[in-house]
Amino acid sequence: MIAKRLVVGIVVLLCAVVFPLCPAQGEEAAIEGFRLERVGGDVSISFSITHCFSQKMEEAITAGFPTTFNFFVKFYKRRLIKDKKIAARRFRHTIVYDNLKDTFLIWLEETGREFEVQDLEEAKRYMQRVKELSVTKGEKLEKGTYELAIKAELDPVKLPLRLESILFFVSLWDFETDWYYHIERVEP
Amino acid sequence: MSKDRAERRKRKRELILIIGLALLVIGVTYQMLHLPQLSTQVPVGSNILLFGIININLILLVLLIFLVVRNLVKLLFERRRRVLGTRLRTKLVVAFISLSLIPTMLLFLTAVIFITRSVENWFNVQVERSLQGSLEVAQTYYRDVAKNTIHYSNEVSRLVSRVTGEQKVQALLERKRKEYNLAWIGILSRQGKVVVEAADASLAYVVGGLPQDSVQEILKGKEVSKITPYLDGGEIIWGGSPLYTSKRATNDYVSGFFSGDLGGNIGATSPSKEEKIVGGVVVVGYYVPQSLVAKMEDISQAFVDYRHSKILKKPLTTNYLIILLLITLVIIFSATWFGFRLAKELTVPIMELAEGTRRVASGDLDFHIGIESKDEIGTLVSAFNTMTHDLKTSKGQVEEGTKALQRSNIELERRRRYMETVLANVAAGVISFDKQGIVTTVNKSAERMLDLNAEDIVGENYRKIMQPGYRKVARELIKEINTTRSESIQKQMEITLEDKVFTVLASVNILRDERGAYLGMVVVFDDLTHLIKMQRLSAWREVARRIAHEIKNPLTPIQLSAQRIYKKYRSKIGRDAGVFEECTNTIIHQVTELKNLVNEFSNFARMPAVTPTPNDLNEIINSSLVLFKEAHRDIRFHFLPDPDLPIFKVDRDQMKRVFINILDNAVAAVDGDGVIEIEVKYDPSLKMVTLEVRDNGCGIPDEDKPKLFEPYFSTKKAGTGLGLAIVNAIISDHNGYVRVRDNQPKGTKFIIDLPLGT
Repeated sequence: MIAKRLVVGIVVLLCAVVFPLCPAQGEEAAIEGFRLERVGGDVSISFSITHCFSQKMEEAITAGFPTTFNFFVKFYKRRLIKDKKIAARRFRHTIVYDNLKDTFLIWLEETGREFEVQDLEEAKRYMQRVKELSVTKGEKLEKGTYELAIKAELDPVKLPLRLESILFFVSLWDFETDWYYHIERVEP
Repeated sequence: MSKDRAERRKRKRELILIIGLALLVIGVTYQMLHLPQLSTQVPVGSNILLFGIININLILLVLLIFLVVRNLVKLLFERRRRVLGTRLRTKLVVAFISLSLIPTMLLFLTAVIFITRSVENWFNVQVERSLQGSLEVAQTYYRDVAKNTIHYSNEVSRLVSRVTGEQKVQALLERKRKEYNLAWIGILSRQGKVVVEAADASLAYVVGGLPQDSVQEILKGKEVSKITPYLDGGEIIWGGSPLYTSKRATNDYVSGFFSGDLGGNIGATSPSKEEKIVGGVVVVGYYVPQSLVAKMEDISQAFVDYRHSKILKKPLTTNYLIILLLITLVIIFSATWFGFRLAKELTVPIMELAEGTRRVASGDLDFHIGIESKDEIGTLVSAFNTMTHDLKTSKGQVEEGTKALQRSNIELERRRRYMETVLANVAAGVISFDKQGIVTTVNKSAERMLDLNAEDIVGENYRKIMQPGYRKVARELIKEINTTRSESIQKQMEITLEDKVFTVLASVNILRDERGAYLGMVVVFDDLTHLIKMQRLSAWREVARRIAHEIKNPLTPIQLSAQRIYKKYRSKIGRDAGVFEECTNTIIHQVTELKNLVNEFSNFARMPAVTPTPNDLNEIINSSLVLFKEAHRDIRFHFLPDPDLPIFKVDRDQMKRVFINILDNAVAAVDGDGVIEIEVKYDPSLKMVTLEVRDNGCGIPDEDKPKLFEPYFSTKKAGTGLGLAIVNAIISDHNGYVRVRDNQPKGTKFIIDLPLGT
């Protein structure tokens, strides 16, 4: 009887040690302001992420942590058995603060632009906004239902001394949006 | 059975535990794989390796904790149940825990304090201030330089608008470049092309200046500063200002100089006078050397690192403490576990030895301790196993010897019993003595013959128990043996026990073992009393028969002759006729007496064989007694019959004769006034009738008693001496026994024992 209680106690203790590794999150990050433009076979989208910057993250950015958002965009044609993948894109938005020059260097991978901004709020807007991203270009979309899925997440923060590799390290900040789905019907 | 069940339960529990642990490991691995920190930063292989190491550590730690706690609980329970060896195990475990816990905890606390203080020191205010100050210096430097470059560009823009002619502008730019220590000064057209420039010759590749978007900003009237890297690692801090011109103002030199590029009349007059437009851009570049840039970057990086570390201060500290705690726990649990192991290594063999000792003590010599160890415990176990093996071998030999001994004992016992049976059943009495004269054996015949109890004399010295008279006889016998050096000697002797005298043939034999050593003596008594008695009786009968035959034959002629002489010569003898008659009558009378005597002898010699028929002994006695009562009225006869006496086979006539003879003697003994008692007793268990004839007469002297039943022995003057001899003969023929004893207080009693089984 005592041995059983002991085992249960050990399991509970372990769970208590292991499961708090899940980061504490405030308001959930989400995709908002989605807009799709379709001209023939060209499909471009625009959207932005909300509630992706926490105070801790801002502190980390101004402390010099390079911060990267990963964006995932998948475009499928819905079928009866298995959906057909039309396109998939993955790109990043990176922000690095240069404290010497007091500027924020922004790199938007989907456009290839790299630029500096002086203001953090402006930098945040650049980071969370995706404008007129070309999903397909020059492809003829057949008649049917298409599904567009978008997701964004924070690229894992690289810590000194490889602390992230140690089991007991608790992540300081993190976000990951749910998949945002948009259904698009293509008529002949 | 219950042990097997318990073992199965234990295995089941362990299986469940293993499955639980495996699931836990999978869960932890899944959780770790989803840690965002690890998913992309390091390669998958490294991740797996890392997870493996961490999980293995975790599993080991969990197992260690489990095993240690389980063992502690088990030890606690075993201690309560007072299981052998738990005290030693407890001592060892407590010792190991104490030895490991105290230094480890001290070390842990020291390390915690050290780490906490170290981390606090890393992030103290002074460090932060220094770093912040350094950074601010660098930032100020950049800001100042940027401001200066804008100021220089404004100044150059203002001066350029006042001079005309390319050469003059060129000279101005060169002069100002040197004056402001700039790397580059240039005037760019609205299209961004360099119109005039002055560059430091030492910096070969200072071109381009501001990017196009910055130029556009300036053309809109803004002042722009920009920093771009230089090829050698240094940086160029650019400052740009608009170069204003007026449409109406004319300046030949300026308008001519810029006419081709700016496409209009760009005036170099003061912009305040008229409407101004941005006709171009003045850009100045200040070179920051690589060494300075590197230093400022170092300052920047130091501050960044510091901020990084500050953010991670708490998790870092926690992490270090957790790792330290884990190591501490591992050390403590390892020490505890080691204590358990050591205790087990010590106590298990001890328990096995204790169990082995118990089993060996209970006779199980097949017990073998299967513990292999090379230390002293192993030596002890090995010695124990050797001991049990040797004991087993010895026991086997002893058992074999015991079996042989038992067989020998059984054989000896069988022989002894046989000998005892032989001795018990042999008619001869046997008494043996050892060499000290101690009685060792007395058989039943000897007990009966000598009226002894074997238990009273076995183990006693014959000198002590023997009467002085017989002791003398014994000494003489031994002396004779020693004198003659013979191994045996025989001697007939008479032994008197109380009122009983019997004749024995004593054979004394020397006992020697197979080597001839003297062991003692054995005396064999053959009871010759009956034999001698029979022989005497037979001899007397023969004598009687011969006497009767030899005497009786001439008596009749003598008597006839005497009667003839009396008849023939009675008348012829006148004067002596009386004498003659008296003499002849005496002859005739004496011959008649002699005849009677001879007839008695003849009867004794020719005693008829016993013919037993069922008769009532009480009635026989009574009928015999009637005659005596009538004849001797002065004597009181008391007859005490036994009513329970059954009718049994007995020769009536002869038995009647027995009573008559005995009563004759009794009547003779009481001599007139007296009392004669006859008592009959029947013992159903022995089936024996005992008759007692008691008188209160003169009694019989002891010396006459042994001869009383012999023929021709009489204490009476007129007796023939055959009466009691005949009694004895008849009773013997009935397998009975007659003996004489003194009657108390006076007189004699004859006791006759008659068995009913005859």
